[in-house]
Amino acid sequence: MFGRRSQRDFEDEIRSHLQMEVERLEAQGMSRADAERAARRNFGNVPIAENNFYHGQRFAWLEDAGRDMRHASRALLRTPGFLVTTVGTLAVAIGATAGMFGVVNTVMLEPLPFPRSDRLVAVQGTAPGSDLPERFGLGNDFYLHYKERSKLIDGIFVSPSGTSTFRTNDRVERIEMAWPTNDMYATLGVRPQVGRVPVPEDEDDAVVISDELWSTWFGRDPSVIGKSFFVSDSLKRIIGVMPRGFHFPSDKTMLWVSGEIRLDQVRPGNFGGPVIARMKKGVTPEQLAAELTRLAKELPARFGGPPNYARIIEKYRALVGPLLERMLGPTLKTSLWVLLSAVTVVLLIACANVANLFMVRAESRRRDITVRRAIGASRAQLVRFQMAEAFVVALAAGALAVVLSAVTLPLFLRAAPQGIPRIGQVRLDLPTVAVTFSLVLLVAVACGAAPALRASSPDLTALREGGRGSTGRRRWGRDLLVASQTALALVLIIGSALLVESFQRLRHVDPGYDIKDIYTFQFAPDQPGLRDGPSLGRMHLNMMDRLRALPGVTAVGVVNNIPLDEGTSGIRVVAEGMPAETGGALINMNFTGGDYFRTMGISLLQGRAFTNDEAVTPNSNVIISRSAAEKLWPGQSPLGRRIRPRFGGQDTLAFTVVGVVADVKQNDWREAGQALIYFPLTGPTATMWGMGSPAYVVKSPRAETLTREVRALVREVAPEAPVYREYTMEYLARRSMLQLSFTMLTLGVVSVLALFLGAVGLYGVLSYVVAQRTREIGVRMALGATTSVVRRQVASEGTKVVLVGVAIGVPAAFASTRLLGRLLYDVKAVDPLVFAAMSLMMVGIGWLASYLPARRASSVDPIEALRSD
Amino acid sequence: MPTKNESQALLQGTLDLLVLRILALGAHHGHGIAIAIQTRSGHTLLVDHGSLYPALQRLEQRGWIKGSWGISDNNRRARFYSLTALGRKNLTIETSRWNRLVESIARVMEPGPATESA
Repeated sequence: MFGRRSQRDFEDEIRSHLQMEVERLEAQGMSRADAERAARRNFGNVPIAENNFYHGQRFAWLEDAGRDMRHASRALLRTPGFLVTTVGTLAVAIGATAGMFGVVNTVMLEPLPFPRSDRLVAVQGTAPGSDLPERFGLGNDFYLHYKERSKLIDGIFVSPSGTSTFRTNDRVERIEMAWPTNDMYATLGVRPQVGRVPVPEDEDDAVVISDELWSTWFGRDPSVIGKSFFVSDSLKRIIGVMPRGFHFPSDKTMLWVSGEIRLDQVRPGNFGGPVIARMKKGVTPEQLAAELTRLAKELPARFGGPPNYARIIEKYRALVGPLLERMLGPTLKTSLWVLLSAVTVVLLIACANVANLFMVRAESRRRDITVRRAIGASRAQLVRFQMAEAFVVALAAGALAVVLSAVTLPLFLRAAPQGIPRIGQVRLDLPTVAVTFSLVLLVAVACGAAPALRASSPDLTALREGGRGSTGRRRWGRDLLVASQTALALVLIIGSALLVESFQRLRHVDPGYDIKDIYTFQFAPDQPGLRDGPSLGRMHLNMMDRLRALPGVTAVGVVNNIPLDEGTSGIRVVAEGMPAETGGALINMNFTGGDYFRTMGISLLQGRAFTNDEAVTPNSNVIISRSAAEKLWPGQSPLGRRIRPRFGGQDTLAFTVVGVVADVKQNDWREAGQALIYFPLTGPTATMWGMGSPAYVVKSPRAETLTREVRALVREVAPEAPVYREYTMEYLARRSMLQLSFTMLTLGVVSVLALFLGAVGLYGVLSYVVAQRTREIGVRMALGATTSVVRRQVASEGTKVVLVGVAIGVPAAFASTRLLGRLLYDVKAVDPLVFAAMSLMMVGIGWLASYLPARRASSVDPIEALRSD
Repeated sequence: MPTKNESQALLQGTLDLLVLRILALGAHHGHGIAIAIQTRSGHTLLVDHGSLYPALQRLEQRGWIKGSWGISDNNRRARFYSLTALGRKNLTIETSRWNRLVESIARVMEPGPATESA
């Protein structure tokens, strides 16, 4: 039998042996009493034999561990305060760390779900010294040229995306879709689960749909392949369904329109396309960037283009970076790393706290441990027992942490900003749980080790001291822990104060428009009569009249791209008096009608706004923003001046400036006011452009509750049109700051937690010190020390430790707040005011945490104190 | 009957071998093994009963012997040990190792000058 024998079984065997020996000796003529004595003597020490048997058993250590755990649990249950504090502290810290790690892992570390996704790169350009943005997307010219000439890539595609109409017989909605070139499928290495990928013969009349769209709109009906539906602007045929989990370029993209880029579609000088390529095996991004930069220099010779095109190409350098990084964007990456580091710091603080509490516990047990050691407990046993306590605490904390993060992770994810790639896939998954438990074990060892080692030291002096003497001995270890806790908490609190300060400043920025009481929406009519500028303009004027008639509505206007929602695109504009070969200035454009400026509270600085007539009668008037005027005619009045915009690379008619308005922050409140040109709804010719679905803005104190009435109005005017992007400006403003406010809030919560834990640690240590020194304090008071002297002395001890912590924390914060980089607005990462205020607060909290034990110390009754122990 | 002082203390590690040898003759309980060793050695080897049981535990854990409860000759419940196949194999190995050891010791102890080795 390889099973184990019980202790009792062994004892039975010994007993039987002794009896046989007694019988044998009796048979030789001994008296029974003598025989029994001799048998025992022959055998030796029975308990030792039994003990030896026990330790000779294979699974003894397991049984020991189990017994230690049971003992430890009982010991812990006897001190519920200690148990709750340690388990709670660790659970919160471990839960937060595991949850945050889960988010970071899913969003940033897991490779994209494409084969060999490490070779997928985003290609952008930079042209220092030109008027283009620091990083910009590339044009079709780059795409075609790279596709033909690059030797280092295995595929390249452009993938513009946006929101457009999708309509079946019984349903119409705006959905996210993309217009990738057909080589997207081969480059990413993906295939439809049903149907086929598009080919050039499909032109742009075929679509591949997502698994989600297939499920929600068509109930996974395979016969949908080959059917045609209205997509964006025309009927397109569904030719395939992508597999579940394919999301590109955003998590919400539901449909991919087929298409190729032909040479005749190339407009040199039009930038802005998102280009993605797959590198060949062994190619580095640097090598590819060098090749692509070199190849781009051939572009002007191949495609011609305006004079400034050649100048931009001259300065152009290709930027090649991992696709995943590009999808995340730098701000999000910063936010997530900052939050992960913050929760890790809290975990450190929590560990320090728990280690500290354990040390205090071991210290108060010194006598007990020494006695046990003296009566024969082995060093290993004592160490094991101490470790067992730490282990039980850590295990309980780990289990609680899993429960905690299962509850709080969904809340966290719901509060997170929209558009974080893959955030929907964050779960409390296996790696997260594994990390949680390895953290638990690490913590168990860390927290158990120090007191366990101390417990094992063969120091019997504790018996003589009677447990009262240890004033200040071995204090430095705990003081160090408290000081480092303070330092870590200070770093976090300074970081979050900087974010709060940024948020405050950002909220008080004047964006150039109002955000109160403004409702906005869009609808996309599709009627045979609505084809050109004037007809669409008439429809919009009609709609605006109806909106204005709603109770409480004071002003209504339309604009092509509303601030904080969609960006504007740039065009090149040659101003009157500007040499034509400069290629013109790059200025963003927008289209507007109705009372847009008045509705939004955008100040009219000079001239006039558009009239209703200009929405329906062909004209060539424009309104420009202040900085556009400054850019085109510095220091001069722009009214009545002319500009020639280049639409699609072609010079058009001249437009006349009739008004100047204030700048607005179009994309983000952090940016400077944008130079903008506003065009009327109808261009110089009736067919030049038609604004099908601009954003409406409605000023009304009832902005929050207009949705239903507005939808009813749209049904009257255009029953076929989906209504979408229904927001209030307040919502858009909140959304645009969500990245910052979310990071700020999370970091805020985390730092307050750190601060609280730090204070608890300090309080715990000082309480212990006071308890240890009751006798000493009693003596001092008996000798005439006053309450306030004792109080001041104890409190100053605590404050001293905190001051050391602050002295470490300030330089640490100095070194680390720059990590916040892009998240900060109008605040320096080393803002002295914030640093000073937070350090002062830290000292204040440290003083508070010391004051309570100090008060207890001063209330010591000398007689009682001398009698204690 | 020799007293304890005259009897030989067992050489370290030989107890296992003796136990195996006794069990090769048939199953025995602990007490029987001790007595059998004493008897077969002509009462020169006295087994310390306290160290016999750790040896039995050790051998059983190695899977060389197997223990099970049975009834002794004088109608007493006792734990009987018997050799396993593994134990039998090891007895052969250990016996020849023991014989080699005894021979070499005997050669060392032979009277006369030591033979020079090349």
